[in-house]
Amino acid sequence: MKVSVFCLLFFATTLFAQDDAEKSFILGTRGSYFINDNYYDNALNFVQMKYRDEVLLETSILKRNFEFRVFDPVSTNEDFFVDPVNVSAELLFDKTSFQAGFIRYRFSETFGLQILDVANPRDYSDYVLNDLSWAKRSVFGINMKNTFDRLETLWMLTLWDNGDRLPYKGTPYDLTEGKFGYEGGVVERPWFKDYEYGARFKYLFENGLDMSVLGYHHFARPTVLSLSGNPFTGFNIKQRDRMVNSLGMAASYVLGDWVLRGDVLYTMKDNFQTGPITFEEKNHYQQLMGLDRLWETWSLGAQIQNDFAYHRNFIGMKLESSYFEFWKPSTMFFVGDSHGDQWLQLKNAFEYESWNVNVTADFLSGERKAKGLFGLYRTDDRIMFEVMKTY
Amino acid sequence: MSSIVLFVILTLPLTLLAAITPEEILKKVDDVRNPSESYLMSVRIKSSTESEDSTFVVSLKGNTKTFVKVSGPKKLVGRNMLMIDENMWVYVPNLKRSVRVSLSQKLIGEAANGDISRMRWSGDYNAKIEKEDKRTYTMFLDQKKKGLTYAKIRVTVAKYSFQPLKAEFLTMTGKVVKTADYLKYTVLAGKKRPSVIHIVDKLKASNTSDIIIEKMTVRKLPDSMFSEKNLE
Repeated sequence: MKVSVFCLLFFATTLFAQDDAEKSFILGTRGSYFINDNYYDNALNFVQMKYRDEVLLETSILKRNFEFRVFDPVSTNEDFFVDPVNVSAELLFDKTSFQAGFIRYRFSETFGLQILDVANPRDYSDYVLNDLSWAKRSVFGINMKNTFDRLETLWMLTLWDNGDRLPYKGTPYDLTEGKFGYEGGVVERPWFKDYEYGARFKYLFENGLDMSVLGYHHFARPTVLSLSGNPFTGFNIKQRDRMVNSLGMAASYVLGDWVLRGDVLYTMKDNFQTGPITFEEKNHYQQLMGLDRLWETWSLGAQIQNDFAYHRNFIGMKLESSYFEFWKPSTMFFVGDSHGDQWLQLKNAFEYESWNVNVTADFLSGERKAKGLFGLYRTDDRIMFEVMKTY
Repeated sequence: MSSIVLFVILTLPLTLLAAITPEEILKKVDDVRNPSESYLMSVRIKSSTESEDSTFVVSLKGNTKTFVKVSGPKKLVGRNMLMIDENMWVYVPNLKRSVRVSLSQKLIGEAANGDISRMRWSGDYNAKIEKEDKRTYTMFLDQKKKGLTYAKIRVTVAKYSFQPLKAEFLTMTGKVVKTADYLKYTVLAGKKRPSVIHIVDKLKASNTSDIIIEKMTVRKLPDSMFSEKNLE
């Protein structure tokens, strides 16, 4: 089913291709050297194709997006898989627009530990892969956006929820260490079942305060694991799915050269992972406040984040330079007030003509407790290498 | 009696011209720079401090909604911008997210974000005629609202054609930071309009940028395209 919808959209797009379309084709490979255990893992090759154009119609604009990736995991037995990043058609009328296809939603301007983007599952196979442009997985659905002067409403219906991609058995971020029949990989979800839906209301006040309120009915994310079975039939680790309801709010405000922003998310009876293979239901309240500044060749972001269910409080900072055309270094640091949680990420992105090379080092520390966060992965410090060639 | 009628006929245009208010002049200047309420504009920026030209497709609706799509060079592609009222967002591909910026922030070289996204002065500025001679008006514009590209502008406008000729951009304290010459009047969207805005940095006169308007197309643009969702 997914393949047929995918092909239909592909042919519709290429058949009427525009000359001024945005097109790219990327071949890439990535993998990580895990420092503590001195080995190379999580390697995969990928192809990314992107086609985007806009057709000006008499009373509307048709935007066609065809962007997908094909991954071939090299260091595991996991099958290759297709990730439709954005395969959709969008029709924009004056006050209303409609979009259908494989879609990724973004509700927040934050970095690092994003809390508000609940509409899409994510790829957790590289746990510290915080770059949502990589980690976010699209869903198949439709949405309608209405614009009433300063108010924007977005109504979303997901027909195929897609699933998280969990660490494959035995790979570095697999907390089960491949025991009890745990497989990992993409969590399969049936089509046209367990619809997700929600709405966002966004209002831009005259003083520049941009505020949005979100209500969403969705699968609890991330997918939690639990042990099931008995000594006679054997034990298995299963992924536990449950639909939950979330209420969220986001705001941003420009104060001189600084941008202040905040996100709040309240999830009722969320799945709450209490250990590598245990979970419980719990109301989950998270919030973050941050500020950003963009200089000509630098950007700085800082934020405070609280998770009241897990009793985690973090301070995070990200500094990025675009001073050099060929080299864009960045550093991000998160530190928690309990469990010794710390995450330091140093990234060097190199660009030369059509080549991109990224070298990212992630250092994680903390206590190995479920309520801790980075400590669970403290033995997974790594240096990730990524090479891409754009055609 | 006939001499009185003749006198009235001859002096009427002058009287009408004399009665024109600074706000009306500003609206006419805006009409020279903008073909309609809603249009598309292809822009190239050539800067003395940049090795490559930058190109943009700018969609403007009134003075409050603009979507800027960056089409080149490769290093800037994707850095699209959205303006709603005096609020501006830029999508930063490095950060993979949109960040709020101000209209006065540097775009390329000496050009600010607002130089290509906010093309109308009337409504934004209180205008007064500072000086007037046979051929030109010198207008002084003072911001009506916060967050505009420039706090104050001194602009010289040709009489009769209302074509802007040159401008000085000033800070709140009245210090001139940049100057602009409106050059190469050519037919764009059916009327003679300045196709080059030559901007010079007052602190370093060797730093210059040319905003070249290559094409203008009158087009009804939907409100729904001016959304942060479309930046990515």
